[in-house]
Amino acid sequence: MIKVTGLTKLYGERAAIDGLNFNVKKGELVGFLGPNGAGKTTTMRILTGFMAPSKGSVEIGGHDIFADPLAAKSKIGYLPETPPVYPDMKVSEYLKFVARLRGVHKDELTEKIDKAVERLDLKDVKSRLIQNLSKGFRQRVGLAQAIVSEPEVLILDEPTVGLDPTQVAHFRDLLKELKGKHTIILSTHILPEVQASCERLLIINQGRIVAEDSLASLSQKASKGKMRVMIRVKRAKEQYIESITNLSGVAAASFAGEELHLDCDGADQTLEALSSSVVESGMGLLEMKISTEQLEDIFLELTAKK
Amino acid sequence: MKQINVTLVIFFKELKAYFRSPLFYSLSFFYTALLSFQFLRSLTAFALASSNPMMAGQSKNIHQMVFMPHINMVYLIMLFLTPLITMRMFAEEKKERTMDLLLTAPISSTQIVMGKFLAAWLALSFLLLLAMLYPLSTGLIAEFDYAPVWGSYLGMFLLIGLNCSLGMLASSLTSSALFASFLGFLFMLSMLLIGALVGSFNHPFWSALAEQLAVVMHIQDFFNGTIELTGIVFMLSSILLFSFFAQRVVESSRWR
Ligand SMILES: Nc1ncnc2c1ncn2[C@@H]1O[C@H](COP(=O)(O)OP(=O)(O)OP(=O)(O)O)[C@@H](O)[C@H]1O
Ligand SMILES: [Mg+2]
Repeated sequence: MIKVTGLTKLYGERAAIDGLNFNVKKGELVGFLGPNGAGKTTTMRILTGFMAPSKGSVEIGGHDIFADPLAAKSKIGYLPETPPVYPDMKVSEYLKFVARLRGVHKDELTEKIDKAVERLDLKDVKSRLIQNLSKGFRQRVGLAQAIVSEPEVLILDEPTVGLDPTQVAHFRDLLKELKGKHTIILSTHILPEVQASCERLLIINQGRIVAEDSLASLSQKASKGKMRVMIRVKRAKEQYIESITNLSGVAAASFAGEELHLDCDGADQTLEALSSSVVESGMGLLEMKISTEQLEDIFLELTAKK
Repeated sequence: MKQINVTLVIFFKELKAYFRSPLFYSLSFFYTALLSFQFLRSLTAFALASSNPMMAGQSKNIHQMVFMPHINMVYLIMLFLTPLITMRMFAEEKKERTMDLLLTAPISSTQIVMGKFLAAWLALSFLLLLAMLYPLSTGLIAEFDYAPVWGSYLGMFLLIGLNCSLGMLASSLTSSALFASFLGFLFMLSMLLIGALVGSFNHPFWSALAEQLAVVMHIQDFFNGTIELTGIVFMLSSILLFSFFAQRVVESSRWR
């Protein structure tokens, strides 16, 4: 659906992005991940035809974004970094304008606007002026604007910025709903966001793609057969550290307050032996979980400055 | 069909924005107040003069005494008012980042420029229509030749269009509305002065060129009631030229 070849954007001498290549299949949900200044926004601006690349090409649904811009753009819904709202318009009026601009037929107008309003939970502010809305609500209006014409391709630049936790959760549900029907690229530097929803990650750093894979295989690669486990107990007893470390498959273990942190190979029998040994020690097993910091580690490792 | 449709979407969005902007209303108020004041004064002066038997011999006509000062006033106020109306056309879209929306929508920059230009021209023409009420209402109480009045208003209509295209060009060049209004005013003034400037060279070629380029001269023809095709063609082609420049500037923002 989206085909990017050799995309390069130069600002003077500096390359903001440098020879990006990737494809996104129809119905896929791809997370675009990278630190500040990595080139996420630049890439998205080129994908949507807002900006021309210095080199390379972009195809949206078979149409080149610069050779055949109108056909390509009619397939795209875009949420830029700053929601592109008119302060002097009412929310419903604004959505109507965008829908008309994107060629939604008159007969479907109300239906599609109502749907977008409902999906972003904007009913209460529907007839308010956008200039009086809070930042989070503006962001939601921006999201509603991107989906109102129900485009095949959605390009969302940091969609959850400024949203409260309820709305972030709400947005994740929305993504699940949209997944499959729409092809979605979303950029972020918030890890749980992609962890929760994206099938495939593109990690970009200093204008280059440094990793491109599914989340599962990325964490497998990064962990190299290692898994960090956290065990919370009722009574920490230092003397058991040794016997736990001696279990086969366990590398290192240490207490931090009532929490036992350890690295192991992640095999099922290791985990089983581990839990029974903790139970037998009489420390009182309260909780045992696999650390979620792993993705963060991958991210840090891949985007570390060389 | 679809092409025209999206242009109209832009056109109506812009038009709505004009007619709900407080700036537009305060400017209209200021404008009508000035015009009323001036028109009433010159009309009473004319009434006095024509009722005075001493002046009967040198009877001045209503055009020179009432309508010319009126249309000159319209012309002057419009010169200051147009940049204030056109300044936000692109500058504000860039500042609010709504330009991102327009440039990524399935619409060409020509359509954006056309929709915006026509809306601005129409909004200003509405003010011109207000000004027309003065001579028209005079028509109810006195009889006179309408030709120069129509000519003047046609000339003003075209001049407003030209100034709109200049103001739009200025607005496309910056993201500061304030600077756009200043630049727009400068453009409009230079366009008016260019004829005078070139004409000051004492050379037949230059003065012939000046006559063709001078907006002032074409306008003067309109004001005198002589509507010439060259004048209309000149104004319309200038409008097209500057709108084309604006379109190029908008399009070039993609390449920076
Ligand atoms: N107009 C510009 N002129 C010069 N350099 C620019 C311009 N816009 C962006 N850059 C540079 O391009 C690089 C990529 O910027 P970009 O905005 O794409 O990053 P990003 O990944 O979106 O970052 P963030 O997470 O902060 O949003 C940065 O180094 C930035 O300084
Ligand atoms: Mg960004």
